[in-house]
Amino acid sequence: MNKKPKETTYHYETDYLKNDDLSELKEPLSRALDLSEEDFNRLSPEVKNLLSGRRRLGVTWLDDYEVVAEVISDEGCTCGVKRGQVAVFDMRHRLKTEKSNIECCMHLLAPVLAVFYMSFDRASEGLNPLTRIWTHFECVKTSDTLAKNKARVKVYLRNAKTHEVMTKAVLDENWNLADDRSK
Amino acid sequence: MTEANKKSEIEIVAKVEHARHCANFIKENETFVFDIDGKLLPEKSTANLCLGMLARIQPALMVAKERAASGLDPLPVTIPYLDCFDTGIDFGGMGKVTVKLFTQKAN
Repeated sequence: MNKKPKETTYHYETDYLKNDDLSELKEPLSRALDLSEEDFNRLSPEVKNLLSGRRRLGVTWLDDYEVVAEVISDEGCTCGVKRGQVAVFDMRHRLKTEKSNIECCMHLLAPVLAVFYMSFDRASEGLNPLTRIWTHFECVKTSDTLAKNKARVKVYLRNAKTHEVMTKAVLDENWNLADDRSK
Repeated sequence: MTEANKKSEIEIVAKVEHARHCANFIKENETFVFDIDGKLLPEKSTANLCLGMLARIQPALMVAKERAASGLDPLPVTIPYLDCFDTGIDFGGMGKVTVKLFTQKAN
């Protein structure tokens, strides 16, 4: 196993989880992810922030919401992707085949991964985990139409049970920024 | 599934060779199966369909399609392993999954 001294994170002046051992999350996470005591104690500041999303949006937020990628154009696509088809992901970016009817073309779906890089970051701040900027993605194939004809999707967040689309900017009812909480 | 893909005789398989602390509970020997056009075949795959692994495989699917269209073995002879986008617990991430690519004849 690779062992590496802890690094300093340089993205923020204050790492408000520096002295926080995430005690209430330690046992269930260690059990779920097969983490030893040593493993847990050497989690990076970045991953501690990732895990802290549970405090802001609730311990079950990864199951409470889902991301839908809905096809909005299919011109030029030869893979069978059609307008209106959907791919549904849980918040761990696992494709929910039971809720999806899309032809699972990886050239269209792979770019959607970027949503989930942002979602954990936003959740740790109590924000709606879905970015409100990067909501459209397209097939990576340029083709000889100079990228005019492509399959494209728009993404949105919805409640996993009710399917209500979640458009509130902030989902943490006790919202404040992480830096504010450390003061 | 489209008519074109029914005719495809080759599938690309990514078999999990190693998995550690994976939040999607992907385990060794599970598989992701794709047709030659780069489409995931969920009904033939046994692993949880994590986009963090699937997206890493996507460029290899483009290579496979190109090589197959040129009459070559779809997979190049370079090292056939790919690992997921999570950087793992020692490098600022959490889990790490590694797959090995091979081809199989579609049934």
